[in-house]
Amino acid sequence: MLVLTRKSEEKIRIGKDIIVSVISKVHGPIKLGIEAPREISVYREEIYQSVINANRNSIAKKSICLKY
Amino acid sequence: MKATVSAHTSQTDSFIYRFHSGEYQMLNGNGTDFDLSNIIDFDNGIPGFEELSKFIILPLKEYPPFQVFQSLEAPPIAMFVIPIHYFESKQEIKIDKVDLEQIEAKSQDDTNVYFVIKMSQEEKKFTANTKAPIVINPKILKGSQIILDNPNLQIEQPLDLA
Repeated sequence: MLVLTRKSEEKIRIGKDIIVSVISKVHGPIKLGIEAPREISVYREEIYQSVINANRNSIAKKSICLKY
Repeated sequence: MKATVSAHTSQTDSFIYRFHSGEYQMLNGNGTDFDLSNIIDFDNGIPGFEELSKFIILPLKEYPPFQVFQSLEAPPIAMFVIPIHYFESKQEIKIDKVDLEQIEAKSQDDTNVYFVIKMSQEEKKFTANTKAPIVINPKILKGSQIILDNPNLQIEQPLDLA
């Protein structure tokens, strides 16, 4: 993993069109600003992970036998 | 907030039993006919199955309001879904413009929305994933599983079968 040190209001560019800004870094949670093209979805990782787990746990054991 | 759907209880018991004993394909006899022109494209797959892009949704005639969300690629996974109009929490579902654009829908009224249902045999318990509904544009057969920001929505919302 790449680790970069950034001060408040400094930014990181990922690829040619994604920019992540550090909005504030006072004690407590860090606020990040993300600028990305509309087609790029941005999620909190733990929420995306919980949807992955929910989908995997919702799979039926056997699939329907389909006739084309 | 509770979700309530109408289903005949004894049918549901046998549904859970069949589902967990792997007999679920018997529900439709030897096979289910479906129309190839009803295949829905999921350009980015769904979380956990990003490689799958072709799905169909089949009603389970014997077990309304359950429907089957079925992949047509390998692995041929299937999940049970229920259209959100059966749920009180449908009021809470507000789809972002950006998510509508992904399936080329102008308004939420032009979409069909479903919750994925999880079942646990031990407690005979159903939950609905109201946080991440499946959204379909039926006109052009494009779909996506979106994740909503609303904190009232849950990945495992208890489901009462009335």
